[in-house]
Amino acid sequence: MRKQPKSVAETAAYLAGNETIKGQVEHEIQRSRMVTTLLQLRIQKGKTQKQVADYMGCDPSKISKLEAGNDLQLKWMDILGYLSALGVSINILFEDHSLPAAGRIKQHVFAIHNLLEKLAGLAQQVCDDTKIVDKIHQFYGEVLFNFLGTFGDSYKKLLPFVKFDESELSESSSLPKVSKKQVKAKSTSEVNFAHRA
Amino acid sequence: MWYIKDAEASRSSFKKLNKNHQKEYVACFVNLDKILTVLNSGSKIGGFKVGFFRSEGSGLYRIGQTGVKASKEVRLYVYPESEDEIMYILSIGTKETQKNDINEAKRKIKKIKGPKKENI
Repeated sequence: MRKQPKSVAETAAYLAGNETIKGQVEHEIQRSRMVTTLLQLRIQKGKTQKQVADYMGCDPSKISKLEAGNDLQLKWMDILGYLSALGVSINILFEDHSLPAAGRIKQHVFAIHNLLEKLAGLAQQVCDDTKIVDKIHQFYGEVLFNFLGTFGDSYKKLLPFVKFDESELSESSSLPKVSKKQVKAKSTSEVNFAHRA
Repeated sequence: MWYIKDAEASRSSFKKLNKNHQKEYVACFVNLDKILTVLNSGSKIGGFKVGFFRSEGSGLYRIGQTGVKASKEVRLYVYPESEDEIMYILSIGTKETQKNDINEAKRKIKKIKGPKKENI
C-alpha cells in the first residue's frame, strides 16, 4: 500500500506518473512564496478581494490574478498597495552573499538588533499594560540567552572558515575595519561587535 | 495540520492532463499548496474567498490553473474534509469535461462520506 503523500509536489508527481513533476511543482511553490504570504495575510485580516481592490483603486479581477500567479508576476507597487490595504508594513532584509561569512553574520546581528529596537518601541507604546511589559521583559531574557547560545555555536562552525579566509578578510574592501587580530580573536564579541563601535 | 489523500483520484486522467497541459497541471497543484497554507494557518473552509478556489456544491471545490498565460482552463477537483483536516484529491479535467468531472467527483465524495456515517 502506498504511503501517505508528504507534500503537494509528491502527490502531483505520483498522480502524473512522472517524477520530474515533483521538482517543477516545488520550484513553482518556491516562486510563489510572496504571493502565498499576501493571500494568507488577506484572509487572516478578513478582507475580501473587493475591499483590497477598492483600496488600490483597481478591479477585483486584478487581485484574483495576482493571488493566482507567482512572485515573478508581482509588481512592486501592487505589493505595496495590497499590504497597505491590509494595514501591514513591509520589512526587507538585503543579504549580500558575496560577503565573507563574518560579514554576513554582522548583517544578521544588525538585523536582529533593529528588530529588538522595534520591540522596545512597541513596549513603550504599551507600557501601561504591565502584563505585556512583563512578557516582553521575559522575552528579552530568553532572546539574550538563546542568542548567546546560538551565537557561540555558529562561531564554532565559522571558525575554520574564518581562519581559511584570513588573508582575504583583512584585504577585503567590503570589511575594511576587520583586522587580523579581530579575525583571530577567540571571543565572539571581539569579532562581531567590533564593527558596531 | 491538513494532509492530502489521493487514493480516490483516477491516475489515468491526471497522467493524460499532465501530458497534454503540463504548465496548467503544475499551476493547479501550486494553487492547491496556497490553499493548504491558508488552511494550515487556521482559516476555515467557507470562511474565505479566493478566485481560483470555488465551491461546486456538496462539499466539492475546484482549483483553477489561473495565473498561467495563454493556458487551457484546467480544474482540479478536491474535497476538503474539515473535521479530520483531509484534502481529498478527486479528479482533474478541462472546461470541456467539467460536467462529467463534477459528477464523478461528487460520487466519490458520497463514497468517502458513506463508510464514515456507518461507523457512527
